[in-house]
Amino acid sequence: MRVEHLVGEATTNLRRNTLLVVGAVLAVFISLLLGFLALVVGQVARNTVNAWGDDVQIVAFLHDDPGSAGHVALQNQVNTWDEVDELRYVSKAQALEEFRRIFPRYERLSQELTADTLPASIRIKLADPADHDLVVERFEQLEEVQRVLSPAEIVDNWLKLSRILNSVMLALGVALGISAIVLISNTVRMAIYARRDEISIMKLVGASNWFVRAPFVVEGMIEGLVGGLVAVAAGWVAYVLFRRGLSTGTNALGVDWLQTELSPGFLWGRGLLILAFGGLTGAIGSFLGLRKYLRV
Amino acid sequence: MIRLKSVSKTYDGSTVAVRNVDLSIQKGEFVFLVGPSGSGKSTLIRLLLREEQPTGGQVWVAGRDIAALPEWRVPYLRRSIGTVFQDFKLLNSKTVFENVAFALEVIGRPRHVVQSQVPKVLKLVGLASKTDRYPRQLSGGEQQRVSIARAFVNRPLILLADEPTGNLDPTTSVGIMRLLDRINRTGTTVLMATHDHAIVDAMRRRVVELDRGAVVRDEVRGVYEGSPRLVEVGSPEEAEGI
Repeated sequence: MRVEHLVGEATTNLRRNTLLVVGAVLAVFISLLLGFLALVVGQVARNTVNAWGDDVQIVAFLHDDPGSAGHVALQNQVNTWDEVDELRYVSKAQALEEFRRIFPRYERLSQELTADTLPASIRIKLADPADHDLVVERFEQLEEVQRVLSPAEIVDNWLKLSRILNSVMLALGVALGISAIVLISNTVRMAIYARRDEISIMKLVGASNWFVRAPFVVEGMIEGLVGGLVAVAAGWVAYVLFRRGLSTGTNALGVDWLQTELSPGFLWGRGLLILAFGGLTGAIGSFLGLRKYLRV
Repeated sequence: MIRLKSVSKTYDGSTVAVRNVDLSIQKGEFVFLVGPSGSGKSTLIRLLLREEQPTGGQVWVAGRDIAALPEWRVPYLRRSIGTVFQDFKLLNSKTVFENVAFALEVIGRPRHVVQSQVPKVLKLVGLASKTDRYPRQLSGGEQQRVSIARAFVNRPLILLADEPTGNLDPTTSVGIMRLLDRINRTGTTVLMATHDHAIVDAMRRRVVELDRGAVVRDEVRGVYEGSPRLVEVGSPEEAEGI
């Protein structure tokens, strides 16, 4: 069987039912776009957690009352804790400097601030992230400590959010994937209907089952692959735009700690996976259409 | 070439279309299958093409027990059988040449075979000058010639014809019968279901008569009317398919 014959027949089928085909391709596209984004979001979440795993920090803001002598005593005390890997003390002056560095946009605000405004803090890196809760609790019992802040909590919350987001996207993707399969099987069914005379003659003169079926399978796979291709392209563009948005408005979004950098290898790999899924969706759809409407 | 042994076909468990038929047709024979509508002629032809499976008995075509044929072998069975129908079954979007070529293309014959075989068979059926016409531009007789060309282009062992003259006037029908006779003389076994008294009586070939699914007569040089009980000439079934 010649390839040109296959593709020629399949594209003829596709042209005959433009509206139906566009609907099927759109369903594949949306379903796979959601799938692709779920993969990207999942990977960003994993990367972020891994980055935090390297140096989970706990920040304890201190009351001013004990004075610098009291702060030094406290540092020494915290340093004796086994769970602490590294300790860094940030004085009130350093805190102001840091603020000015991180938030250059709020120049006017930082002009108003004096060295007295911001609290001093102790920042620690844990030897084992698992001890996080224990150490936070211990800090909270110290009377020199004003407030304990742990970015890990934010990560945790964000992880939960990303997990929910992921599940919702996957569920929607699967539901739409099923509807894509049904729509593709419908386009194949219409194509079979349009060619029923030809098919009955083909069967009569002894065309092999695969000769009769293959163009319809190719048709379905083209629909799936086109949907997948557009989904990967759109997902990629969305990812790039999101990253650009982050780099210009970082702190406004408050997600500067997200590890959004993904390797091209990851994107290409998952892109091909999504494309393969598109082809598979098309093949399954056309098989269903064939099974139901084309008994050879 | 064709052998049926105690073949029965029952639809929906109750309607009997073919009843305990024993029939043997040798290579190169020309056989008329006659009988009123609903007597099982078309079902018999469908059984030979394995469009239907018998509910009882065995069917051999070209030496093969076709009930035992796996699904994927069925197309190969059909390649050894040419079929011609009352309604021609031509593709109106294709020319005469393309209609005949289609039969070779879909069974994967290479292009040079198509290019050499199609003109030959069109010459045989007398349509060499009309290869580029479309079916709509042809008379009924010419359309039936195209369909015979399509059935014969692959040189099948057997030609099955289901009322090939059913839509044609008597003069045209004679031409079609001459063509089928010529094909038969090349050694092709021909089985033709028909209602056409005049043709059957003129050809004086083997006649197998079916009545309510059973073979009631099998004569070597028969005529259409076998026994006095079949007296209805120009009976309503003449109108079948119109």
